[in-house]
Amino acid sequence: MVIIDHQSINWPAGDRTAQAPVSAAQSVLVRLARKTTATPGFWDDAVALVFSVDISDDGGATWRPSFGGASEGGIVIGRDGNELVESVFGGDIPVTANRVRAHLDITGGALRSEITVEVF
Amino acid sequence: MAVSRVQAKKSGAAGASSVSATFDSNVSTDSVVVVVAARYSSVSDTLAVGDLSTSGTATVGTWQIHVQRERLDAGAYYWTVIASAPVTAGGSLTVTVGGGASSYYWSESIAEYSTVDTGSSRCPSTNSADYSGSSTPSSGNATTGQAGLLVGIVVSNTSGTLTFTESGAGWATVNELESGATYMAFSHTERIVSADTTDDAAWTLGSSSTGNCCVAALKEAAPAETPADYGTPYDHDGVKPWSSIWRPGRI
Repeated sequence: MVIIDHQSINWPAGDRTAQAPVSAAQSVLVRLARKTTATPGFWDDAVALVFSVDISDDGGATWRPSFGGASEGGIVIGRDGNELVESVFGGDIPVTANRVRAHLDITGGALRSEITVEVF
Repeated sequence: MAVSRVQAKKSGAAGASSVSATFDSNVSTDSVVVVVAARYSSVSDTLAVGDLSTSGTATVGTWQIHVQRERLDAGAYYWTVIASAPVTAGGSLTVTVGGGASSYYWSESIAEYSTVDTGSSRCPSTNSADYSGSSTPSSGNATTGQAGLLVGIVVSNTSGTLTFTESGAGWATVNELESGATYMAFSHTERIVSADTTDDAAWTLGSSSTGNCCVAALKEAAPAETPADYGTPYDHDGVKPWSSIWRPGRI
């Protein structure tokens, strides 16, 4: 189920989050649109981010990390030989979670992209 | 007490320079954390100990990369790896596998085990193998040498979806990701054994594929020493001391 669908973001450098409620979800998939030849305004080369999906069991009062990773901007080539349209981060979450958030620590400038969050 | 898996977690990423996973519950002191991971890249890039890092309130000892296997296939490189570290102080724990570039694809599985040897010689044996056009990959044998644990990982260089079924008595799936379009399709398996065992990590795939696999053997922790029974104490001249024959209420 898509809970955040291609939401446009233009976040300045710093600690940024986007959150949504979940119920009995077992895994989360987050997609961030990358810079491509067709989308030159997305995710500038100088912009790096450390990403995590955080979960809350108490409606957002407290949070803890669940999974994540890191990535840098610019055009990159995917395994099919084409420009990679999105960076994707996915993982399991405990079914006790009732709220999830995408947590981005952005450096090197503002992050302009689109974010999509799916839960399963 | 036998080795047992306490908890496990998985994550994956595409278009990322690192991937991380956080245990849902705190890890305990003297547990061993096992990391299996798979990565796809356009350049040769094996994992170094410095590419493994942790965060959270727990601390771990020195990482050991027990086995890794890199393969060049269809113009790209991918590898599988099995590593572990002892937990030196319990708490929350995130394990990050990094050292990559933003075009990489990743899969990571972490598992916490109790009663695994925390010493530097905890992994007595490993093996690894490539497979091509096969639906029955096998790592080749590894030997535990005593009671312990066999850990396996297989990865497929597919960009589609692939199912994995562990083969062989006693093996169980810990984690898997079947989508090669989004991550590296992989399976992480285990076999806990109560005596010296030689075995391979093997799978039956949903269709023929190409990839590689690894197995690592980990030893069970030696049982804690219990106080020896030295019998009734005697004093230096062979006479039972007063304290050993006096019984309250029997005068």
